Amino acid sequence: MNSLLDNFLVGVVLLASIGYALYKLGPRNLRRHILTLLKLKSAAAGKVQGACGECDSCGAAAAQPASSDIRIPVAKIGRRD
Amino acid sequence: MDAARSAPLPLIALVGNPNCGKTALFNILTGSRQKVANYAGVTVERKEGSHLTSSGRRIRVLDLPGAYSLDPLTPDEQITTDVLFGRRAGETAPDFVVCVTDATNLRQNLRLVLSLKRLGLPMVVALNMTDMARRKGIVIDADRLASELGVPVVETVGVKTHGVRELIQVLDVTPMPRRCGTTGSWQPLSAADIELDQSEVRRILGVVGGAGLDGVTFSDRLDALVLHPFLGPAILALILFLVFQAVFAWAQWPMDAIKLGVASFGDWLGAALPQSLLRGLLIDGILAGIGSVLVFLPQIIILFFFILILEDSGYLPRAAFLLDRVMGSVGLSGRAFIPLLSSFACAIPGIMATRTIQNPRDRLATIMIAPLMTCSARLPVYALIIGAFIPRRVVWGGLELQGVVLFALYIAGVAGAMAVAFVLKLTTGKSGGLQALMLELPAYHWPNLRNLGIGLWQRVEIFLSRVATIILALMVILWALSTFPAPPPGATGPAIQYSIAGHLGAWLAVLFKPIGFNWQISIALVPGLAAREVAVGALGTVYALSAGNDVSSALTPLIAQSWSLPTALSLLAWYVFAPQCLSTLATVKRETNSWRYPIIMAAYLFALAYLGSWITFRVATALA
Amino acid sequence: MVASQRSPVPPSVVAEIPLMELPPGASARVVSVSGADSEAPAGVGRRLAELGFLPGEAVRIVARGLLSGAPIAVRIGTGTFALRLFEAACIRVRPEQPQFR
Repeated sequence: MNSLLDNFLVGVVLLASIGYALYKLGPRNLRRHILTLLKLKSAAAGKVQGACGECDSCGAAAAQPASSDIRIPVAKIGRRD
Repeated sequence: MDAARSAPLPLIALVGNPNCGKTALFNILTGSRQKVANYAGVTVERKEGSHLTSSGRRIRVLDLPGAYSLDPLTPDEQITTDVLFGRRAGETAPDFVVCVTDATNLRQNLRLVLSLKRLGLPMVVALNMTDMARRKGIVIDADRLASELGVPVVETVGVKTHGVRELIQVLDVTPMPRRCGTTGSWQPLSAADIELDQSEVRRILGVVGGAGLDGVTFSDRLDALVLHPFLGPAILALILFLVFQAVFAWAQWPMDAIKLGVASFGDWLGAALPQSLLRGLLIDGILAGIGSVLVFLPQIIILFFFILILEDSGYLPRAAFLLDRVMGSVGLSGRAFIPLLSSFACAIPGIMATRTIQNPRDRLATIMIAPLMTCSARLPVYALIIGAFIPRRVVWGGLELQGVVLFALYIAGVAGAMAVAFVLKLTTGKSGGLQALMLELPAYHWPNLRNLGIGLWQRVEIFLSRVATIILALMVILWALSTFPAPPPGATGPAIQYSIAGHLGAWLAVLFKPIGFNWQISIALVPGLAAREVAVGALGTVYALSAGNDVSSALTPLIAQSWSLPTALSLLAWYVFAPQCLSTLATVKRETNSWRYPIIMAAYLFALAYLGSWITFRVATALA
Repeated sequence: MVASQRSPVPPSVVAEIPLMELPPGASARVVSVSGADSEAPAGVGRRLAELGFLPGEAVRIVARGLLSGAPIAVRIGTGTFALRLFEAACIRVRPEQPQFR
């Protein structure tokens, strides 16, 4: 009985870890999918929103909508016409 | 609640020259903690927060990259003008503009105010850093300035919480109808227009005060030393040496304390739990992995202590000045220096900071070499191996050998970056033309102790939350891969050899044998791709499972016994060059809008790392 | 209202020189900024003007690099900028005579 509980706990921790790793390292689409699935999107509102790379390095890494992505093609910047 | 959120809130934008204190004001208005430092180009993206005025009005606040003019030359300025003109997809122009000016440098800042006025957006001018101006003897008649400009002017002190009271009052009472449209048309200024604006600025300054203050300042006197052709480089070398010495010398006792804490917790846990799968997960998986990473927190804090002080004092652009010849000779823009320096914290903000570089070729070259700057996540790996293989002894008059080796590793990364930049210069040719510098050298000021404290605490939070989330998750997964399937009955070797990770490690070891890596190292390299410091934790877990004893606090002596010196040096060489974490590659993809560059980057870094390790291993083996 | 200030450079017998030839510490006034007759890429002269290198503004060399004197740190008005040689080459100045300082 005790060992059954042990193994169950290990299984839960393992599944949670795999889920988190997929969420954090997987593609952005997957993350958005998970967020909508868990209806957590509103939780991110009100926080500062930027378009950083989420290295967890600047303290600003909040969950953010992908619409704030800044997409500037390399060739199209710094040109003054 | 949802209805309130969807109702359009007034949108205000903070606009101004670089380094005039926009982000400091943003932080106070919105209660956020965005990075603030004393150099131009800290903010390179649009940041949004919200402010609740005392009368209960909610306002959306935008922090924007600094701009010298409304005719953008660099990607970060482009972001600012796109937001101002309402050109961003799905976004209208701001309803109200707070034009932030540096009261000590109005002669330059007021031209942008005149341009913004021409744009026709309702605005207020924030006369920021008035405390510093007063200390310098600059007294500006704000009321007179307001009547000359025809817009309200408020005095602010961005570094003090009560320094923005006046600005908050203005935001509270000014009507800001939603304009929901684009900004009126903007005619780019001609050179003659700029000259006319400057005459107007001179006239205004003559009336309100603040003109004719170009005598020799404290910053000038300090610059005479810091930028001196001979003394300057010597001071720079001294500062860098001090940093790396301190990383080892000061960190000793807190590291010992953490080790002791982890070890006694492990002993207690081991005694309390019966032999089971859960005990294995907790002790061999989590504690061995997390414990070996946690030990390096003090060293990371010390490194950031120095980085934050250098950033806040205004020294960084001076370092860029001193090293500009080197940068120029390998075909890099002088503006590449600060993005590259940011990469010592993490390559991702460094790569984003390349938005301050105007020429696309220069920007790309800087992005490509940014991962070669040793990011702080690699510090645990270096520190582990140095701690295990380099004796603690004093060489050449007071220098700690371990600190010298660490310094050499950072230099190796920089030298590699310069070499790659040089190759890029030769291969992509002169297409970029001459590379620009035009870097502002801001006035020095004393680092703000409160900012320093907040900055360091943020580093502690970031590190601990990484340990508690992604590193923990990867440790659990690695433990599972290294535990299952269980060894067949009658197996002789350690159980891990029969597991999935064991088999994977055995295959990888074939690939890495020529550069001296054993199967344990080969396994640890894989999760290290997600986050560098995980490699240390992974070694902790892998050795805990193969050695069969508690290694959470004793990884250092264990690898000192089981690796040869050439293997250790080869692994150091690998970490100098090997591709960064996946998030870095994802950032490169985002910033260049193409898969091409992250793929080229990963390929060249792998090749460089393998070559570097191979040479290191062969040479060290031959010498040993 | 600006017409009276159209020529802020006081008449002087001192000849104008490229910014690079100004000795460190000496004060001068900007006479002209143009990227046209140098090898600088397009836009450099324009950006220098936007940074405040405009006719009539006071300049002073704060520091110079080790070899060939580049880069240079230039005080312009109340700000200081580091410039590479080709950027400084766009700027011509008229040294101020010592008695004016």
